[in-house]
Amino acid sequence: MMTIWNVAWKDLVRSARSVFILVFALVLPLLTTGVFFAAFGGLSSGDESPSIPAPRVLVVNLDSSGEAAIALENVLTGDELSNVLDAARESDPAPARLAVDTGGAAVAVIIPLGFSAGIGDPESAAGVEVYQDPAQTVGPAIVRSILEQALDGFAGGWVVIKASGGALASRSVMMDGATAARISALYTEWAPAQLAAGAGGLAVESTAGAKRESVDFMARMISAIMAMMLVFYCFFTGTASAQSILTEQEEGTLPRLFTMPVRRSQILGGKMLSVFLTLAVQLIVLLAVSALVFGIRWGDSLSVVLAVIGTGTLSASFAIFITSFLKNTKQAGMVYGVVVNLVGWIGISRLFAEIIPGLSKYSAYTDTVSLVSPQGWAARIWQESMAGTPVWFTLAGMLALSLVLFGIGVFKFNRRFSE
Amino acid sequence: MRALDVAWKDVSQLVRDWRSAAFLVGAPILFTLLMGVMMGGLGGSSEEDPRLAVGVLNRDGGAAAGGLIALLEKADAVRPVLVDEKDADTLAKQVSDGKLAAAIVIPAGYTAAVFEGNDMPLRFLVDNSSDAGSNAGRAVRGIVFRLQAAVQTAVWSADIAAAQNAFASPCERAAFMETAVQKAVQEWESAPVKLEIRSAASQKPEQSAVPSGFAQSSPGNMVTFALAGLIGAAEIIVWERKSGTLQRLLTTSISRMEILIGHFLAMFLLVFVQVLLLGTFGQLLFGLTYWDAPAAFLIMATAVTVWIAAMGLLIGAIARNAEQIAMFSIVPMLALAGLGGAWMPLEVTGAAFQAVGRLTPTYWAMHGMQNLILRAQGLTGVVLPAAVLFGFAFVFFGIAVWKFQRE
Repeated sequence: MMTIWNVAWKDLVRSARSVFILVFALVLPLLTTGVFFAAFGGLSSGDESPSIPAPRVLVVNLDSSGEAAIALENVLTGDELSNVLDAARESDPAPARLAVDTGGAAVAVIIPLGFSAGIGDPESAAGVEVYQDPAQTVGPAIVRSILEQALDGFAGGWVVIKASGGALASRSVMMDGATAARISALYTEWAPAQLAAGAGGLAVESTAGAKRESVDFMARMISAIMAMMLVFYCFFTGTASAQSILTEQEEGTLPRLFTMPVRRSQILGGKMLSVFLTLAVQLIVLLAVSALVFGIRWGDSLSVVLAVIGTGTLSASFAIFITSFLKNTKQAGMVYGVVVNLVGWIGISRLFAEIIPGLSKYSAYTDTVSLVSPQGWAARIWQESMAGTPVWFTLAGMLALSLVLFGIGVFKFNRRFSE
Repeated sequence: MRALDVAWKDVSQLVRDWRSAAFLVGAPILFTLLMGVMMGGLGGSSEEDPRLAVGVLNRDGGAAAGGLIALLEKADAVRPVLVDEKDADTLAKQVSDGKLAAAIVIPAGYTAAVFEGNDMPLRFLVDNSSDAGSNAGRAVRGIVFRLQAAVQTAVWSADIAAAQNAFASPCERAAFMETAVQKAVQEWESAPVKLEIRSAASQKPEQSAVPSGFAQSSPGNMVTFALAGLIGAAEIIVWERKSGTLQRLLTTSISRMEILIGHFLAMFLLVFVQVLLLGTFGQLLFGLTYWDAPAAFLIMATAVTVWIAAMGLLIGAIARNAEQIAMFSIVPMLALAGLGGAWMPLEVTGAAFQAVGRLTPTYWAMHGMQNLILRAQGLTGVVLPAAVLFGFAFVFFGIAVWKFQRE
């Protein structure tokens, strides 16, 4: 046992001195998660919810004497929407479009000449131009939504009178001027209240629980990203640590070690222990820092401990397994870069499917496919731990897989070194 | 001339490891595809109806319910998916799982209630925290306003007709109101006020045809992996210094500046070819219009490459060993790529993040490339971004020269 510990301690010291391993083990996962954390609320001004700046909108009213045009202009530039839109008036369409072209504004809204007069006359109706930056999606969508609602308010008067006229004619009731004026007045009284009500006519039930869930979604996303980074870089750290077997082989210290009265399994056991301890340190630091800085809740203590044991053991076994197929450190760079990367992406695909709405429909597929890679099992145990569901079954699977991978690795190394 | 010899030596050393070279081109294409699909890159190209699916459970069956379904069918942003009563319990789950963008439950007796002027809200199930949910929510609110206006049309005109004794029975009135709702729903089709959406790229009343997912992921990965190419290039400089080759070189008639320019040229060539290849793949595989303005793309490719090569030179001048190279290149690579909008559009980030992002060269690289592929601005769109990138390159190159001369 002492021999195993000595081998492990020597490798641990080597790993701790390696800036490369430290950067990959700790800096990169935290940095990547930190970027997303800052992007989606971490740098916001203390609000619970992420604050996206109001899109810059330039409003050009070419129908400056028209009643409807002025009303529309006021809707867009008024105080009521000042927290949603950063709107300003512009007199000429050309500079407004230029501002959109050069990134100075997200949208230019151009109200055409004759807009107000055209509202009652479909033949001469002129459309409101929304000139938008194609590189942006959120700002233009907000502007379009507001405009559509406002325009429906204007157009509704025409629709109501036209449809009423048709319906009344079917009962031989003529739509005279007085009737039209009466319906128009009824609409003018009814519509603003409806438009102001926003969700009038709808009893909204949030399947995610409204605003609180919006914050929860952000927390869920950051947790999933951190879990991805944790799993992804753990396996890199494992393989980078296990590379010491190849380095020692090339430097000649491993063959010298084999001349000593030490069993090969003890040497490999020491290597495995050192990889496991390096990973344990990495996991503990990442879990603690991410919980403190990003507020991630990794689960109850027992689940977290079991997930650390499962991830560390599986990652260390995988490192021994993959290294046993390599002849030298030159091969290692390529294989670690491609194989660990590829297998890692397959494994963490289940976490992607959890946070990317468009991928959620494939979650059953990614949940199954991800388990062909060890990283998939590690991702699964962290998902379960965070969700508060039992981790025992996954842990058992991870330990069984670890045993198989470690067994193959030891067998391959024994064969290689006994030749 | 001697600088060219140094450059040639570096290039031949770099391309000898063809697997790394293949990785620097293959990986960004793979990631562009992966991230592009995630961001909805393939969403608009399938034969499926691209509109957001809104489940409709119709427990009413009356004219108002029919009007709502008709309005949903004609909507631009959403489409109705009729749901059976047996699936009613799973409706909320389908919405929260993202299978439906939202769902509407029309309660039994809805038409009768609204025809009598009573309030009876429609149940609207939505996940507002998702993009699809909030977009569907906006669209459905507009549609419900149209429906309510149609119902009001029926109520008001029925009252007018009733005042003139036009109905012999309540049934006649009910039938009249049903017809009035249908007419109003139809009239919304020819409403005299419309929006004309013009994209700054096309100048036509339509959305840009470029799938937005790839327009983000292609230049994003181009910039990220161009930065990754620095590692190999900077390694040569460090190895040259560690192995004593640099010292031997300096005993010859070659000047320090010639050595530096030689290394710079090698990095420039490597990254330039990588950027051109990725631009070409972007055009051929994802339909992005890098090469529609060849001169503008070449200017942007040059600016991006000069900035990255200068940064590589600086890393090579500062780093003392391979570990430091990895640290000095990977950490800035991730930080610059993330902050500058290479991973996600800055538009969806907070104000402070955006402000910081605009100070990074990555932002200007992305901005210039997107001016080409999204805004179709050609030469005018690349002048400022290219100038800023050359500015960054000048600063990095200056520091590298100063550091190198001091050795």
